[in-house]
Amino acid sequence: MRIIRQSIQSCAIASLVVLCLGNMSKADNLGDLKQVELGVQKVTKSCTPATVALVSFRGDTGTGVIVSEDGLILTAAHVIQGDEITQVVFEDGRIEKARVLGANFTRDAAMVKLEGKGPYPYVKLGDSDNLQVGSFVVALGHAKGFDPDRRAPIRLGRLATDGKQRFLVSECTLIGGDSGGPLFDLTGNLIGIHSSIGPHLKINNHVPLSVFKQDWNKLAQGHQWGQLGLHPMADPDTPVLGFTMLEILQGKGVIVDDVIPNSPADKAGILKGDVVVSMDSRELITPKDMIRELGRYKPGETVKLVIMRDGQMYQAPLTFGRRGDLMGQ
Amino acid sequence: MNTVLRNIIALVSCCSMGVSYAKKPSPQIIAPQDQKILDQQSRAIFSGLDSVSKAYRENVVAIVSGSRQLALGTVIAPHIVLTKLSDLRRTTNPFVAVDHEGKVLNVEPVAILSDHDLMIIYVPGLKSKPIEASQFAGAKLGSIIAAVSPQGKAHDFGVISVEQRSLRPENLPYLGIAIDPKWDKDGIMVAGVEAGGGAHKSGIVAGDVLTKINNKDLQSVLSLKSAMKGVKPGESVTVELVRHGQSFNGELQTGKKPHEMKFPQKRLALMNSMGNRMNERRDDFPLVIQSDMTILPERTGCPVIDLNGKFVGIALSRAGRIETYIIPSWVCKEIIDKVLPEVMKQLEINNQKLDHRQDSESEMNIVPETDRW
Repeated sequence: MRIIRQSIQSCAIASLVVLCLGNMSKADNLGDLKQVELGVQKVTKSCTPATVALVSFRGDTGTGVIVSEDGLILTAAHVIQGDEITQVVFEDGRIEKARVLGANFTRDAAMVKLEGKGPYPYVKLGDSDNLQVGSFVVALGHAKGFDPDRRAPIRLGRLATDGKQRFLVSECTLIGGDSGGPLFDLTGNLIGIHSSIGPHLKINNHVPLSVFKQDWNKLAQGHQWGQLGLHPMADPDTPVLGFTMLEILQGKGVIVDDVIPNSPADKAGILKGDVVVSMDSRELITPKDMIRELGRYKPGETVKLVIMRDGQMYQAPLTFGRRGDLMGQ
Repeated sequence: MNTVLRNIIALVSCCSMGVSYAKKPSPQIIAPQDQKILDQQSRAIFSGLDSVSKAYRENVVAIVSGSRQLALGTVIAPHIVLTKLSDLRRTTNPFVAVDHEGKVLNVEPVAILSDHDLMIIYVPGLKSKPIEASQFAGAKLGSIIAAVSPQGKAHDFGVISVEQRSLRPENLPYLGIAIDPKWDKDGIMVAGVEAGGGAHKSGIVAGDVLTKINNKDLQSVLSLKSAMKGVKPGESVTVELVRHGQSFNGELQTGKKPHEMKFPQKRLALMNSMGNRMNERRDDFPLVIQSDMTILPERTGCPVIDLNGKFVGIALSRAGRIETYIIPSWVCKEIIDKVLPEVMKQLEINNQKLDHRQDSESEMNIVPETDRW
């Protein structure tokens, strides 16, 4: 057990760094906005032909994006659920058939392959792990279904998350038909796939590209697994700390209730009654903050927890376990 | 006095914001430190946009009824403001215009353009200069645009999502054929023709397979629609078809698409209304640009500008979660050039009549009532 005394100053420095980073992010003045505008126009021009509508034989419609010359398409799992063959509609209204490959329903990620020979227009894959809050992103998608009278409407917005969470959250407004559509950074690299919307206009959720990359071969080989709409706390592949949280409103921090023996929390020396104030310098106020922040990690990763015990601050490194492994015990 | 009024207006817009937009997403979804970054950045973005939009501070007026802002208006000619029709029609109370200095001015509706959902109002006391003709510009797909409020501040921004198009089905060409949905080979199988329609007149019959329209290959209903893109109703298209194994060429005159009944789509309606308030009229515009900017319904009617400070159009309607419709500036120009002179002429005649009536009224007053007896 290693508990290091934590100085409060370093906490303050960390938050200062975050603020400075915020200052540096793009589009602070008109010149930067003009740069963003150039990016949007470039992305739209190069990426629209690869943004296709997926229409099932039942008549449901969604969007997909072609990522290879031979016609591999990434989309959302809920778009192709229950289909083996789907129809791909191109910009000019041409329809081609495509075969549904694999799908990770829990994370709403799926792959589809065009049956034609191509070559097809395609987009480049980006990196969703190293994104910045406040970066401008572009969403394309066949909102409300394919409409020959217009191209896929462009949506501009900023990222509200840095890509490590379960979903990318952006201000790019989405609606039915956009599901499975692409989210690009301003250089035209694909970073996410549209999945769902929240009750607020600024909450639009996209599957990070990393979810596809992680299981690329499995998806390409046609494996389908998981369950749609699964709560993160029920997903066996999410990270776990190994303690229950006390649901009381108090000043700041998450109060530890029971610690599961031999769990990551137990190994890190966390005790009942400890207050977890922050995780990797990110502030925690309520149990809901903890659930949200957990989405940033994978089982096996190590984080620094700052814990308040008897009026003193401690720092405890904790290595996440896999929820399925702990619950299976 | 002016400041008081301005405060009232500020209050009005604050109140209306409280309904949906001012509310931040709940902290569970966006981490507080991330939200802080976004807020700080927003302030910087809007101060950048304000540097362009301030040139328009005189060109926007607020249309107010009682303590409620109904819409914004754009000054397009001396004393003439273009504003929203449906949003002003909804109220039975009288409304006034408030200019950039907070002055309350009487208004007189002089013409309505119900197709565009616009109203021309005459504001005699308005001293603001209209938007200069040199500022009018076209909108490019993907351009960043901002909506301007009465004090010349940018209040919303977004991009041009879709280039200008008509939202009216009768502006789309129509062949008058029914298509066999089961046909899975190349071309389109005609299942039937509408009596009196373009296809009927050209001699197309059920069982024909249309292979090309305007030299574009046909393969599905969607490709048919795409092939006819840009064709105006009444124009002719070239058709290639196969009948009993033989190919034929011909011309076909298109007609207007009949008004289709739109089925209410509950799911879409729900998604549209999530965290969003919309204008009453949201469809059937003859020509609009689509943007993703999130504007409040009572802020429509304002000028929309691009990053170079050019006037690209007037915000017409918040129509859904992803769309705000904007009437292009060149249509506004046509209104100024073609509609406005007529309106002004009428206004002059009316004013003369009014003067005349006032004269006769005063004449009548000179004669004391008692003298009649």
